[in-house]
Order: sequence, then structure tokens, then C-alpha cells
Amino acid sequence: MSDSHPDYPCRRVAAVVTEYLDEHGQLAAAERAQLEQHLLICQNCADFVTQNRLTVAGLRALAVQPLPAAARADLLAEFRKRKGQAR
Amino acid sequence: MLWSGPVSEPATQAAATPEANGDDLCVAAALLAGDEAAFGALVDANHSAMVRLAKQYVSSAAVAEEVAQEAWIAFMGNLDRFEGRASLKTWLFRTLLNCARNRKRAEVRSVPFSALGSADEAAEPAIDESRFRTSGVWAGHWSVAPRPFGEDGERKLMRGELRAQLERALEALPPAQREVMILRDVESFSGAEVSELLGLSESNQRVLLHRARNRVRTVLEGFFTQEEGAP
Repeated sequence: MSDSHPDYPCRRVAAVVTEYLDEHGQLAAAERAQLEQHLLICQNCADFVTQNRLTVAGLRALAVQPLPAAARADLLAEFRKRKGQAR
Repeated sequence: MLWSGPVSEPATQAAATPEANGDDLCVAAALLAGDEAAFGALVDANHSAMVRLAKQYVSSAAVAEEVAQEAWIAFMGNLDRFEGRASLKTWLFRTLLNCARNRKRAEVRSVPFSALGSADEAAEPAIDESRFRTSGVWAGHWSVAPRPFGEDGERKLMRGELRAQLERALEALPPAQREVMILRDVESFSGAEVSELLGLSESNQRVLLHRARNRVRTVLEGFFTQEEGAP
């Protein structure tokens, strides 16, 4: 356990990791600093935070989905119809 | 189908969000002027995501597709009221959610979904407590260390090669967690936007996201551990 730090428990990292990774900085600056200090000396927690980052990256990749050509064509046809009506 | 006039309850303007910008007003103006390329780009960027989200509310993929089409009609019908106070994407997804909720009510079926989740779900710990030491000077530190996903895992996740595993993990989530995760992590909405779209407090949406991420992370950890052990 020499890679860990008794003053900031790993359990706390697990509890606040979502706030820590939030792009809008939900974690208070003082705790963020403490957590980052902990990550420097605790490989387990560093691995845990990386797992979380990669999980989000994997989910982001799901956003790219094929759009069925028929659905697209239907929507564009409706758009054209509306355009025609507006004239 | 006619674009003119709302076919669903009208969308309302959201509070200001960081995503709202002048470009969205230009896109809205182009759409109202009949710019087909602008409409096509918006459809390409959002339609599949809208169908995915609609599926959380209705009984089948076919109905979800119908709901998404209905949402486009409502979106275009209301677009002249868009003022750019929320992003165009938030406006579009709010319209989609209105349509999906209306359809859900019309289907008169019990969808196991509540915005805050069940009591069991609310009480569940985000992470398995047995992974931490409970006594001694190292109480609260890992007893079962997280297993790194490894370079191969990282490459696969970044390239979207684990789509099937992630889709299954999403499917297995409690509905409230799944909806927040789809909007936050798949569709990249901000916490403030998701809270506003789903009518959740900021802290509730964060708790749901935290639990969802932990479940999906655990599934991935299990997958990579198994893969590592495979011959």
C-alpha cells in the first residue's frame, strides 16, 4: 500500500470522480488540489480516474451513428414540401 | 405532414446555457428561409440520436422513428419563436422529449421510468463498498484495485470498437440513469442542459450520471479482465 495516501482515502476519489471530471469544475478547488495530489502518489486511483475518462470517451463514440437513407430522404422531402408551401 | 403549426405542446425557451450562440440563430434563419443543406446537416447530426432517446419512452423502434419525425415537424413549426437563449440542439431535443412523452401517454403503457429512479436505485451505493478496506490505517483505500483497461482497451474505446458492449451496458441501466447518460455522455449536453431538459436538480442529474458511469465502467472492467484471461 505504499503507493497510497492515508489523508485522502481512495474511497473519496471514487465518490467524487464524476464531479472531478466535469468540465464545468463542480469540485471545489481545494478538494481538487487534494485529489490531484493523491493521484500523483496512488496508482490505483490514477487507474480508476483513467477508467472513468475512457468510459466517457467510449460513450462519446456512440454518438456517431449511421442515419438510414430512407429516413433522411423522408425528412428532406417534408422540408421541400414546406418550402413549397411557404412560397 | 405539414411543417406549419405545432403538432405537439410548444417548446419553451430555456434559461441561458453556455451552448447558446449566434451561429444557432444563423442556422435557424437559414432553416426558416428554406435552406435544405442546413436542414440536411441538422438531420445528419441529430436524427439518430433523437431516435435513440425516443426509444427510452415508447414501445418499439418503429414508433421511436415516428416520434423523431413528429419532433422535426414540431421543431420546424415552432422555429420562428427560437430566440437563441438555449442552443438549437437543446431546443430540438426538448421538442423531441415533449413528443416522446406525449406518445408515451398515448400508448397507455407502463414504462418503468421515473425521473428520479426507484427507491432502490436512490439507495444503491455508486461503487461496490467491498472494493475498499474497512479497517486499519488504510481504511477507505482500495482492497481490490481497479484494473487498467490497457493500451488495447483505450484504442478500442477511442475508435468506437466496443459499440455493442457499450450499447448492452446502456440498455441494462435503470431508465433514469440511462437517459441522463445518453444525454450527458453520448450526446455531450452539459449538466445544466440535462437538468433543464429532464426537470432534474443539478445534484440529482449528477448522482444519476455518477451511478451510470460506475455501472458502465464496471462492465468494461469485467470485459477487459475477461479478454485478458482469454487464450
